Amino acid sequence: MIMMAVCWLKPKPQRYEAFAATCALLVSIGLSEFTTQILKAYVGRLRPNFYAMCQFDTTTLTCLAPYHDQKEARQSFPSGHSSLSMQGMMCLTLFMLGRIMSNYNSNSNNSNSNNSVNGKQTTLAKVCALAAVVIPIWISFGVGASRLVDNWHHPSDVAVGWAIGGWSAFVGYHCYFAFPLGYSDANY
Amino acid sequence: MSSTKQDEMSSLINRSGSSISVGSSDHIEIRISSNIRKEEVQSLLDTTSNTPTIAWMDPLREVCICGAIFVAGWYGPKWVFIPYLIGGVRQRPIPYQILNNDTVILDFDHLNPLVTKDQVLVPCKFHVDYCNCIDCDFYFTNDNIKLSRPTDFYWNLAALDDYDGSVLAQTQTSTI
Repeated sequence: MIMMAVCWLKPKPQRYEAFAATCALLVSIGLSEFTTQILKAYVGRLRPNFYAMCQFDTTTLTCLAPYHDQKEARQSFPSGHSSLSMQGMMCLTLFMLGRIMSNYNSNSNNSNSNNSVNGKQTTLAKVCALAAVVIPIWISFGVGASRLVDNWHHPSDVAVGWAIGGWSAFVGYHCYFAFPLGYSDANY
Repeated sequence: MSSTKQDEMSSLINRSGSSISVGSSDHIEIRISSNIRKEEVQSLLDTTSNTPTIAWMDPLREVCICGAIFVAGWYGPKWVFIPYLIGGVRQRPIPYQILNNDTVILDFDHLNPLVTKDQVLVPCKFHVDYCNCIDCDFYFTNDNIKLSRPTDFYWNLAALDDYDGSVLAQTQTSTI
């Protein structure tokens, strides 16, 4: 709601784009969380730190932890942190790519007369596009790796979480925006 | 502008462009993705600044749809789908295993289901009088005892009820 309010405070061109970005983010979060939580409950895979989380007692052969912790210890697949982080970071990546590629295409159409300036802008656009793609995804990889290091998830949990997050981000983003790499088609 | 005209224009503000594609009933639709016209639209800002006044009901509808998807995705599984359709979190058996001397082995890989002591399986590295499973290379099996695969398990063979040197010698050649 705060984001929506901020969107309406912006000037009109940015307002529409921010509004669409907010809607895309909400849709992708909903898709990602729905898929992740349903799979968590359906699969019920034990976490790597299951015995520690459920406080398993080898004499009574039962878990001594509260019910909430026991339930949490059985929801390893897929990783919610990985899916949510990849969803957010992939949305950010796609949004930034869309802006960079639209500006790049418009600049390349406009500045045919000045090749040196155009070349600098092209290089800058490529560097920005590379950073926009790499840095958020690195952050998401770091989140997933931390889940492995802390023994909260198996590697396959994190991998599937990344896949779910990326898929939901693509779907949510594409509901409101064109695929960013499709801008190359505009140079006809 | 009549309400019909306004609704028609706002319905043409679709989602196919970079941010929002713009169109009205009396000119062509402008899409940023593929059918952009260089002479008409030079950048994204030009496109969106040419956007006609958007009708209030359109963004309100979008907000409602997005909010509904968000709430359904965030709270739906917890409140509706998991308790009523899936029946709660799946309760897999705890993968511990009990040996003949009632020693409990915890399967830290969670690969083996709960089994009885006649079916327990443990890969381990053999030494003179013990089996070290820290770096497991071999299976140790006989009729009654099959140890599981804990990664930091240290097992003294003298404590096994059914320790048999001949069986041990035979199984040393099998690798994981």
